[in-house]
Amino acid sequence: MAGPSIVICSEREKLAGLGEDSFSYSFDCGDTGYISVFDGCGGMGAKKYPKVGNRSGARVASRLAAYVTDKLYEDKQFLFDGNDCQRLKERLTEEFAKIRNTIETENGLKLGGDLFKTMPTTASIAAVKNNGSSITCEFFWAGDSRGYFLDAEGLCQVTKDDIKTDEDAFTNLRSDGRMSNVIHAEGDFSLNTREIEISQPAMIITSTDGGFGYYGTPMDFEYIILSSLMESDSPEEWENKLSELIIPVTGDDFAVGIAVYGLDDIADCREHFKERCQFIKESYIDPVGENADEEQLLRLWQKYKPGYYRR
Amino acid sequence: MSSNYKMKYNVDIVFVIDSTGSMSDLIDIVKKNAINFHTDIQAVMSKKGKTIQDFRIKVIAYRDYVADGADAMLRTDFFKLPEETEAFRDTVNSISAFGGGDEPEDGLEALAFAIRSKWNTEGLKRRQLIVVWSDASTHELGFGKEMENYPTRMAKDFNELTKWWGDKDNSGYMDYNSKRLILFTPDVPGWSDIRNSWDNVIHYMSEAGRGLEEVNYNQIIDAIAYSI
Repeated sequence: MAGPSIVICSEREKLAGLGEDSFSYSFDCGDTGYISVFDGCGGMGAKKYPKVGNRSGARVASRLAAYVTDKLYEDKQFLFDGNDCQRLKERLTEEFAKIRNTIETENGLKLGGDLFKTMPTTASIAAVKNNGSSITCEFFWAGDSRGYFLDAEGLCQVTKDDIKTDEDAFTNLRSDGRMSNVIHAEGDFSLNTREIEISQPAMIITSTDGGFGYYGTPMDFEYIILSSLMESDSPEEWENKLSELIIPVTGDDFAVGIAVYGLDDIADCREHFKERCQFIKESYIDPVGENADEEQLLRLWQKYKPGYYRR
Repeated sequence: MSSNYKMKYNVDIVFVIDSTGSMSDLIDIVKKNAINFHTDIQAVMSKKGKTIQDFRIKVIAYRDYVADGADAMLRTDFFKLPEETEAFRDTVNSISAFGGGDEPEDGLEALAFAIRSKWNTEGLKRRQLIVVWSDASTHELGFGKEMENYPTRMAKDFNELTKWWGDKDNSGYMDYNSKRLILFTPDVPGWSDIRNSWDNVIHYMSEAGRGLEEVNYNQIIDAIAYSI
């Protein structure tokens, strides 16, 4: 037993040097590893900090959260003992407070209100343990970044968005629901967790909303993952092709991490998901034109939804 | 090879401007940049890769019903930009800073008018923004109700205004997910009550009585663009 056969992370800053998404992953500790993405919240965290080159709190936050997650893994503290979430939250709280105290100054306008947080970021982290025929996956998240798995039955969203209104993934693409919880330096945030057992072969996916949030339907997100895979002969090519499909559509920075378990290589992965990709294309993508009718999209979503929420 | 579908934003903004004596510097900033406002917001949005389909803006300039009588409240309809940029600029240029009487002004009445605007309800992704500029606290709602020109359909108190703004269970007059309230005001009664009890608010806390001299145009553009 070992780590995943393929790991990719597609990401892009909308504005070079000003991006607010971040990611980290590692599979160096035997059977366990993790992938993670973070989306610094540009609106809530727009305040700039002169002590860190006038970077925004959002940018600082996503990078700090990625560092903290990686450090916890490096310290071999993902133990799958039911306490990983608590350990991660404590570490995040401690490090965010430390950095806030270092970079905060008294200059400029003071900010307040629920749309302002000090160094806010979303998180979607998947810590994975390979058990042979299956994997144990601990998802940790805050905000609207998501964790999924994708097997021959299709994409399944495991995490539940922290938004103020209770909406499904299709409705939230339209209403842009306000987030009710993000990681930030004041410390009064929640880190959600869910552990599930997944049969191999499967992909584990984490994504910021820049990856999935600018398409007409959740089906599109599954399709771009699979269609980019179908056109690729190497993990690097898959990573690039996935970015190429997201960039023209997204209105945001994005980071999408994928780890593949139970398949030998990219060719094996392509072969395994070929049928599913064709099915999604014929059932959900080809019927939708440029001026898609909302009712038609909703009908297609209703058909797709039970599978998408099957776990 | 991927989706054919692209989402666009419809953006409505209401500027609520305290137009009493001390506010002349801020009003000059708004006047000076009115003609470029649409282009500047679009530029920031384009950099973020966001497409704005319909962009409308409306102005409410307020003072004090008791001290300023007929000059207490100027309200426009929405201007569609860039098509009506000239009319928007002319309206902004007609605002001048004077009056106000005592220190608190009728900012809550102005905010009530803003909340009850005829918001665009079309489009899949909408933003309904209210941006308030003031260097003063607010009277309690109804302070000037004895005056002849005080509006008849006004929230009777702060609790009713809070209901007009709404929350996740009662959306009020605005769409819960689309609305944002941006305050460039001091940390004083009225505005601080809003910051502490309403959803979807960001408060840039300025110094009272100094005409928002700490606020510059780029800050305003960034605050608005990041809220869309």
